[in-house]
Amino acid sequence: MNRRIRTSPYLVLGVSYGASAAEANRAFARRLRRLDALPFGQEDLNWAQSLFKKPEELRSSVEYLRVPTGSATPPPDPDDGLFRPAAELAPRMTAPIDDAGIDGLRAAAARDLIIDILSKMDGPATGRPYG
Amino acid sequence: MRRDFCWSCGTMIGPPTGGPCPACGTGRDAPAAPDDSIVGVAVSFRAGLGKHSGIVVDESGGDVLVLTDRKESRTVPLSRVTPVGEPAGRSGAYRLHAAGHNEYANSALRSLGARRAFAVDAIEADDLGALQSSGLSSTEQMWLTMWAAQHRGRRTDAVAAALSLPVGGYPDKLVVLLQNCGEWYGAPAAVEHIRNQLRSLPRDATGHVIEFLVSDSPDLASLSEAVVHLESGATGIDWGNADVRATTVFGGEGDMSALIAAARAVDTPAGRSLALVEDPEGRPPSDLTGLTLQVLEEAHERGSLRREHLNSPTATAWAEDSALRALLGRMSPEQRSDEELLAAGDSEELRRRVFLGQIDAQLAPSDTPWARRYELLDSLRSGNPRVLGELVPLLPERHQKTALALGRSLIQNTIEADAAADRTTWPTLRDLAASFDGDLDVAPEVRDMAGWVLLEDAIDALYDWRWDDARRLAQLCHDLVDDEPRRDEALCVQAAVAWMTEADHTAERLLDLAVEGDASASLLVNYSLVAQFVDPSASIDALERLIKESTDGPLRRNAAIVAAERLRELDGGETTPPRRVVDVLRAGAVQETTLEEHGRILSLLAWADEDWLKHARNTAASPHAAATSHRIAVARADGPAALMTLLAAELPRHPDDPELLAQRDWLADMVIDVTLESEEPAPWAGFLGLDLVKRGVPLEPRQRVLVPVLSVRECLFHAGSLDEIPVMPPDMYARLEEADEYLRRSESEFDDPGPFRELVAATYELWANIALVEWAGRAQAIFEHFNDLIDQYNSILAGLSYENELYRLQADLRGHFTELLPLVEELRSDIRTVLRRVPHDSDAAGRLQDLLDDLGPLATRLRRGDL
Repeated sequence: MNRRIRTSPYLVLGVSYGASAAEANRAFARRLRRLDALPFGQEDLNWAQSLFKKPEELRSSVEYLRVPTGSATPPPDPDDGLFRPAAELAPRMTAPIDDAGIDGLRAAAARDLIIDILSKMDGPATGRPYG
Repeated sequence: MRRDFCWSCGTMIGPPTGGPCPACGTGRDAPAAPDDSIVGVAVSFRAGLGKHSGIVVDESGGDVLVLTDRKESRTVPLSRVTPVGEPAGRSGAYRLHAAGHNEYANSALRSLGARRAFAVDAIEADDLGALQSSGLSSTEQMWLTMWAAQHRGRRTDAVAAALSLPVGGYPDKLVVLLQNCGEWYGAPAAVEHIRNQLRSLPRDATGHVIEFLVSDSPDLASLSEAVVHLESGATGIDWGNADVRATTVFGGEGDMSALIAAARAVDTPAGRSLALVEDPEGRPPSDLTGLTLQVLEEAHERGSLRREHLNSPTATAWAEDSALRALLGRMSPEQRSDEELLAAGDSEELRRRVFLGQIDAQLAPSDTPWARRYELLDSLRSGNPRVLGELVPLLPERHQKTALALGRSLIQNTIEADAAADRTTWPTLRDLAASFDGDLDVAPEVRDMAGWVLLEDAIDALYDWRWDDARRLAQLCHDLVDDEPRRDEALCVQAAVAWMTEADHTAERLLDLAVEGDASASLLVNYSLVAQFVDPSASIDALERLIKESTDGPLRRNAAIVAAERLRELDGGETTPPRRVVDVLRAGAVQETTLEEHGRILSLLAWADEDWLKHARNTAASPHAAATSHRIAVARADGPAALMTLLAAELPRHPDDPELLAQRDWLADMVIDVTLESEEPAPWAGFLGLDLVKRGVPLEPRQRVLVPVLSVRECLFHAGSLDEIPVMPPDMYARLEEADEYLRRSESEFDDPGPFRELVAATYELWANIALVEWAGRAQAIFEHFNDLIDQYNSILAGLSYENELYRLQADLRGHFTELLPLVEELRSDIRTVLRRVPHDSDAAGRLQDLLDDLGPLATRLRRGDL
């Protein structure tokens, strides 16, 4: 019996300091499955898990060995890397607009202008039925 | 006005003159010219003596038929009627119609010309309903309606009528459609209808312009032609009145900037498209909806439409636009939802997310390059470098170098810097790094990577309770890295191993190294924990440093509690905590804490800061201020009297409260234990016990006897040890009697009342023995005083010469007797009181009785005045 078991719930469960209750529960289940290979018993596991039911209290406790201490924070995963490639811009779905196409855009814009002009012209067209 | 079509059916019939329409047979008669007919004119005339008025409904020869106001038809010579007012039109038929005499009007529409004249009048009067009475064809009526609406500026009605005219007929409708193009442009059904119309009509200037307007793919040639027609006036529209923009836009060949500026102003989809594509420097239009995907993609390629434009807040409103949604998905594939990707089928982004584990899906095999790329990447990630030959060409150029370096690393069992520089390769390289042999002559990238991997492996080993591996890996990490945070963490892992294997000194030494310089709160916590058995003072110092350096309120409070508790344990409470610790405890006493934690804090303050704690106002803000434990702690800090007051007030109301009972028992048992076991006189315990009873603190049966009796006994012991007998508390004997009475009354409450009775009896006897000393002294003083009085009496008596002086002397003496008697009676009463309680066969009883016996005759003599 290791007399130090009750000094670190983190080592008992195998979770890092600051782990959430959900993480502790998952770790509890993992440990439980291989309890025979562990140097402590289920009572110790229960004890450790129970502490995580009040995670804020556990986080601010000064009576348990903290592992890791968080002194060193690993660099974050990069936004783009060989095994974490950034999203690639998909290929263009439409054909490029050539000069004729640009002329078409121009003509279409001009057409809208003509319509705008005609729509704003005052008065009806001249002319009467029967001449 | 064109006359090359049949007004009745609209069919093109060539020259404006000729016979009837070959299609419908209707003549080309123009509206009848105004004549001098008086039909439909209001008139007055004289007949007989009276004057009549009415309307002329027919004219024949020299007579007219007048319908009088009295609805009488009268034939009157034309010469006798006088017109009244102006005629209502040039057509007699319309005049009759307007006057409400349709039955006469119809008979007036004898010719096509009359009917058309009727229609002209109706249009002039904006009386389109009258057209139905004209007798003209429905198509001619519609044509007339179109023109009537056009002249009155009713654009919508004009277009509706124009579109209702037969396809291929009435070519003059084109000018109406052109001038009102804003009414139908953009309405697909109308546009299609107009296209059909154009196909069946001769192509004139107006037709050319309209053809340009309805074209699916307008081009510059058509534009130029349309502009020429418009400017020529051949369309029937007076283009000279058009906006000056026309000249700007169409006059300057190739003047794109002017056109773009004008297009921006008009702000139609076509205008926005042109501006977006052809003006990369300009601001993208605020509304991108309605633009084609081709235009959007072209703009994006030309740089005028960037990702940030699509991510603007406005863009969220564009989600309904299919082209924009497609472009957004292409430009920002990571923003597409998983569901959207899955629904859309295989795509590079979908494969990417599956590769990254973001989507859990089994995708079917695919021949696409990206599917193959991710398949090969997955293999490389698993440590298979043989795929590189096929993989590298499929990779983006920016990843190729990393992939090659990773492949070489895996093949050569050594980590290349280019591979280690990409953190995403670390899991693949982890085994290589874990077997790091301590060679420090490696590239910085490799050193950095290996340091992290070793540290993570060391922590994993620690979690697996593989102490040797954890220690070795942490040591390697510590030697490899040169930054303090990681070195501290590595030391901490080694210390954890030492601590768990109960090598406390090693653990303390390692953590002592780690907390040198900068130290995280967790490091200090760990140091404090492992040092508590090796160097308790250092353990407490670490917590004090934590309090000083941390801003975490709960952590500081916990540190203060533990530091104070360890300090109290360290030297039995001789040394009180530093000010900083006490200040945190004070703050903690009013913070939101658990009741248990609050109790720990108050307990420590009672020891370290009693003067502060005893003032209830200092902790009144605590959320636990009303809790029993809180009130007990404050009362205890204030002293036993405050605690007894609290118990006397609260226990009757909460007789089963365990905390109150514990405090009551603590006090009572202390009195009992001290008075029973103390070898030295402990009068404080006696007075405390008497106070406990006097204040009415509810006691259990055993305590109700033992506390007062033992307290009295302790006070008597104390009195007996003094040279002079002190004045006893006036109610002390009453406490003894109360206990005695209670015992007599409640013997059934005791399993074995015998020892209690014996204790009470012994205490009475003790009281008697102690009191006897005083009482004997008092008796002796009384006797001495009495004898002095007698002696004085006898000596004076011998010298008396007159009998009356004797009487006076006797009277004086008896007066003194009277003063002395109460003292004797009081003493006798006290003695009798005690005598009743002490055992009859005790020595004290005999001595008390002797004293009583001595005092009895004296009392009799004093009472009788016996000289």
